[in-house]
Amino acid sequence: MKILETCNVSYSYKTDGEETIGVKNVSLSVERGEFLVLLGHNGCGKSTLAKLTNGLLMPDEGTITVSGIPTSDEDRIYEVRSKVGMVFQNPDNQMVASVIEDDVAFGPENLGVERSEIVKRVEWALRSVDMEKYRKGTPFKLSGGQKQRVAIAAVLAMKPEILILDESTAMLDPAGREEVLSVVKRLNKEEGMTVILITHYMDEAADADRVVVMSEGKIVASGAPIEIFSDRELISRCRLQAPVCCGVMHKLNALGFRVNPVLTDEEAAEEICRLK
Amino acid sequence: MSIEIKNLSCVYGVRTPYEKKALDNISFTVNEGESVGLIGMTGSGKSTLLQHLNGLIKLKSGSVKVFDIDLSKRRPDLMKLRKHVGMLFQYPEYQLFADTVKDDIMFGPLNFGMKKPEAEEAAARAAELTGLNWEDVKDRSPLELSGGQKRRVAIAGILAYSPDILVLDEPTAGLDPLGKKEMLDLIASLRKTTVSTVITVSHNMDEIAEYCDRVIVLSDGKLLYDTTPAKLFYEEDLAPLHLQPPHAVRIVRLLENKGIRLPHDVLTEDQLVAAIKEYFSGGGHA
Amino acid sequence: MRNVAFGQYYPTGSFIHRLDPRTKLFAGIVFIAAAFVADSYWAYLACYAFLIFVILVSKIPILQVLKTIKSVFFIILLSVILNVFFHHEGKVLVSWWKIKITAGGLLYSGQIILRLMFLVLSTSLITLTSTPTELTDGLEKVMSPLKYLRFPVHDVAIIMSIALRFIPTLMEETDKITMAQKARGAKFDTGGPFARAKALLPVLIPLFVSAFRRADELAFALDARCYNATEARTKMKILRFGWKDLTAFLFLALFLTVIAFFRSGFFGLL
Repeated sequence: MKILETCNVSYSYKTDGEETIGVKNVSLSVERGEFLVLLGHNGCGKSTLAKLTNGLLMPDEGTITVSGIPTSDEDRIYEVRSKVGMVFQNPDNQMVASVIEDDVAFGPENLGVERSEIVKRVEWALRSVDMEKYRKGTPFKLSGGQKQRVAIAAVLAMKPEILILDESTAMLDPAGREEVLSVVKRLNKEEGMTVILITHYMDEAADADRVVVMSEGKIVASGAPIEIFSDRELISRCRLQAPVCCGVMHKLNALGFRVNPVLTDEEAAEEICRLK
Repeated sequence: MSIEIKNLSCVYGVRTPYEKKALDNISFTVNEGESVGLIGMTGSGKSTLLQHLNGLIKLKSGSVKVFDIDLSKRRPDLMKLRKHVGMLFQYPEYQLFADTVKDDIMFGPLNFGMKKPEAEEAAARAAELTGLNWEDVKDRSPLELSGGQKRRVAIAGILAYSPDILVLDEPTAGLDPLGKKEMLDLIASLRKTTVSTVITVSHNMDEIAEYCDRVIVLSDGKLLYDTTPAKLFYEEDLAPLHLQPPHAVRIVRLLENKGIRLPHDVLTEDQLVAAIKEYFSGGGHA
Repeated sequence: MRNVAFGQYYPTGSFIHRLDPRTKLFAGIVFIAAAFVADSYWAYLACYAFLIFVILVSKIPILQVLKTIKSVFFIILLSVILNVFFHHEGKVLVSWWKIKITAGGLLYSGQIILRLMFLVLSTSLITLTSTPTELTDGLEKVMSPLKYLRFPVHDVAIIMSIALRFIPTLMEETDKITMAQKARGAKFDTGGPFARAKALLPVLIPLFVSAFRRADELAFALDARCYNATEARTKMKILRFGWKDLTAFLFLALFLTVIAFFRSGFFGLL
């Protein structure tokens, strides 16, 4: 079942009479439980698309539906936003409270969820991201990875059906990225959460069910990670960079060694071994 | 010797509940012409160390010497130090402030005592070095440039006063893959033409492996390793530091478990391809 | 990192820390009242005895509390100077040209010092023992009757809470930008007042740009988390007065009585 559908969606930013294209004619549908990675160079329209899916921006043209609810339905916009949980890039700019549990409670409080239920949700959400120890603490003292986990918990507390991470790992160090990714992957595997991960880190895309590539406001490719990363022409045209193992396989092929495309270092080693 | 650090320690918030040892007895030297990678997680003491290199924090224990400027002496010449050591902070585009690109790049040179025409000339030269088109950008507001261009302006703002050492704190953070590559190539070309001694902070081991000839690893305020990339990635266990060795090194190690031994100086994609070619075309084929 | 002197939350988990924020806000009013009601040295003695007692109960090191004086030191100094020179009463001790220092003036200045110090110390004790969230929650609750006058109590509380939440972030940012500009040779401590003010621009402009950028992102984040979704907003934490608060109230009442008793006028009545 489709949980998110965008149909011929266009949006442009208007400043001082000038228009810049955000996204152009984008049609994308996402299955329930899917792990989708969205790639593209800076300014390709990834973030715009993300903001369109939960009604933070309204399309100039086209329609977007979340679980059958069109984002244009003004009466149900908050329902849409609670279904599409969004985690942003800068962990510092999405926290409202000085105490972690208060920050997590903010969403459900806004939705008017009953008190006893909020308490339960906050506890559950913080446990899901492994941050329950810090519930009384202040976000200021946390590491980047911990802050982003709290931001995920804050979104989970609204009981969303889709989790969108808009470059949420970009400002983190490797340990932080690892923390956030493992939480997101677990939510996808164990809770069946639909995930849209927007990132510049190609190795984060290797595990995805599907990779969608955007360039200059348009979707230019969509497919399994292995198909996308073995398409050298696409990769360079869209200002991306394939993971090292893909590059190695490609270059070996060019040298006349018969190896198959791979996605991980382990698979690369297997392939090279077969050359013996 | 360009930089000489001996027994440097630094404690924050002494006698408060937030007391923290940011640096613990650090000693190392950096020679002219070296490209040093500095690795450490958030909170490892990296930022504090960098601040010492520019006299931005008061030296309390140990000594820091940059050329002939000794920070442990009374009243060291900080302006001279800062002119010697050009420091690019994280997300440097957020520090641009002037109305025009020209004024922003000229800020440093003027502060360090250049006259206006001289400073403008230096600014133009620095901008071109970073790949900006001077005539194109000089009168524009830095705020209306793209992210990658802003960062170039920030770098030009430092190159304009001709520092002898460049310290770069995560120069590729927040850029997209191609932007990262362009930035690293820019730094590599600057090393050949302009500033030969560079210290780069990075979390990306593939970048470190490709662009640095020496690595220093900080953890919990202590200097854990000071060695070559090959030694670090092949001989030390980096897992406790949450660091993954470069992909090429990982593949070499996986191959080793399967009985294919490649030389332990393979650090990058191209080196790996060459080593595999060598191995299978007779070289080390057992 | 910068020292945030004025009343940064200092967790010890003491009796005082666990009081309802409304009780502490009320205590703040009592402190201010006491500082103005007290007008004899005996009354001040009582004030300080009380203050020391509260500090001991709060388990915060006395030095930490005294640090908060630093931020208002100059205000205290200024008011003392003004009073020494311009409050004329009683025996003249020094008289030179137009300047006269009187015994009454000195005594009065002494009282001013004691009064201001008491004000600062006692009120910063509130911020030292309560988190910003507790204080905003308390204020929101205390102000809640204003809702019926169409005053946007909740929005004001959110704005305060966000402002408090961003103080450390912006302080850190200020430090970063200052360092970055210093690295480029900026000098902040030379020249006349005009030159110094101008030297601050390279810090202030990026700081403002960044604050706007943050505000922009934060607005999206607030919307994404359904801010303003419903009039019937709920709250996870409900403030409740407990026996601790009752004890505190009784204690405050006792304190006020003692101060009032020591008022010089009061003695006259006896």
